Amino acid sequence: MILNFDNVELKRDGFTFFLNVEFRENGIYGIIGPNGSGKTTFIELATGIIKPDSGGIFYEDKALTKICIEKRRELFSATYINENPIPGFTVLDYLTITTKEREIKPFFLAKFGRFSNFLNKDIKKLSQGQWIMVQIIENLLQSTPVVFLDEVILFLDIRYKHIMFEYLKQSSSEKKIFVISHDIGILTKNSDFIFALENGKQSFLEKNSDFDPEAYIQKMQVDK
Amino acid sequence: MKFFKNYGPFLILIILITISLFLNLGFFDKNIFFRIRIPETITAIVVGFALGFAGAISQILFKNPLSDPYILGISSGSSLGIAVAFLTGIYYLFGQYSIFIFSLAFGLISIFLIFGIYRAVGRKNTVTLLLIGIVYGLMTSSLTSIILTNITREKIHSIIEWLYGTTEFYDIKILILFIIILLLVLLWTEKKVLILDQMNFSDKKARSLGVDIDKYRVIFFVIIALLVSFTVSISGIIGFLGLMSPHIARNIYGSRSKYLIFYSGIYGSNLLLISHIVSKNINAFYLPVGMILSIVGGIYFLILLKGKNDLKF
Repeated sequence: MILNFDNVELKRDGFTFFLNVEFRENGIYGIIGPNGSGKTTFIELATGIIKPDSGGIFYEDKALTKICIEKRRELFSATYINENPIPGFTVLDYLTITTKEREIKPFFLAKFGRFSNFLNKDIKKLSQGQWIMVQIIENLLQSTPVVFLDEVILFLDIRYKHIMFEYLKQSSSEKKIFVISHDIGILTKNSDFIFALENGKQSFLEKNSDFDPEAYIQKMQVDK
Repeated sequence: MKFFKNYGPFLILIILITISLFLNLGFFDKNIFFRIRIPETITAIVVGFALGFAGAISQILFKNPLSDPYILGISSGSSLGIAVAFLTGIYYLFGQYSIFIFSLAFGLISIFLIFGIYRAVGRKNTVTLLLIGIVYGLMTSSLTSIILTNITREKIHSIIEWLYGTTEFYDIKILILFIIILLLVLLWTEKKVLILDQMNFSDKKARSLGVDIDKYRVIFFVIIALLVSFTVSISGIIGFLGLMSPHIARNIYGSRSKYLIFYSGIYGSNLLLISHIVSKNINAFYLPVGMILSIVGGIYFLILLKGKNDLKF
């Protein structure tokens, strides 16, 4: 599944977002960039939350605008920042609702057995980190070829960060997983590609092995 | 325990129906039993179910467990219709049908007006819709008050009786029509429970799960509005039922819509039947069911505010 931003332009409140880029290979894409560089806008455009003023977003050869909302869930899954847990849903309820799988429990236990004690907990009573983990697991339980995770690392402790990337790596050969974070260290340690944005435009897209984080951080400080 | 959890509300309903039908009946009077007791009991069951059911959907739609279908402004619109029917004297010419038609018509007009404003404003989110509903409700309530202050004393008594909620003004044809509509709504909603579940989450999340949130927000709003308009036209304003029953059901059955919305309906029926029985068996003074529920519901609401920290979704 190729994800293509074809001359996508969006103007809003003096901010111009422009992107012309293609994501061909599967793997983990670490998305970096200073605040206001357009990282979340990238995800919102890619998932159809906002529409571009011009240009098109294509999944394989199909324009996102031509795909009805019900069908979009077969293409991507996403976790957005600040999703509130609703009281009265257990983790099992949440996973059943979001994956639309009536018998999700065996899949969950087979892949994420270490969190089996979560299943009957009310999602409102989970810690922030646990809630984020549940949402990440939800994305990976879905068979979508593209996954977007917006600022999920922020709320995870070191142990959960490690587990999260362990899971992401297990799925990364069959999916494109976009992870937004300011934590350049952890992204360079775990990503296959680094995609950097700056002022609403692509700064670079390169293999992680070619990325020099120190030079990038230095450049950011100079620009500042 | 599980048996009582699943079937308890139905057992309570059967007991309440029996009490409502036979309490203080004295000698068996066919006319009283068939012309008063049965229709009033059915009215309480159906109206209570509709309000509990609509309340649960409203709380999901507005992502707020304190939401009540009356907050959307539809009931105030319907009430204005009733006031107009009394003011113009149409009620005295055509009877209860005019109340039903005016209430329903004003309710439907309210739906279109609220949605017209919603579309014109442009910001399509739940908060905007909620605010428009509240403002619309306040405006129509003021118009109703103006009418109330400008009509004769005799008219005021009838209109107030209606506006305070009652299970007495039934009309069997209207009731049957409402039952058919309610059943159709139930059958359709039963197929959409997963979508309702997904609508609990943020609009972004719901969209990413494949829910056409704009479409379903309109559909469920219309369903709530239709049910509320009908209940107002049948039994006036009965507040807080749409708040209390979903809250009780959520505490027992959780938030999964397939349980929540239907058990909210059953608890709605039970609560309205209890109020109906109390109202009918206090002889010292007139106590409308709507007022009983408003007092109990108000106390319940305050307890909710004080005791719970999970009221915010």
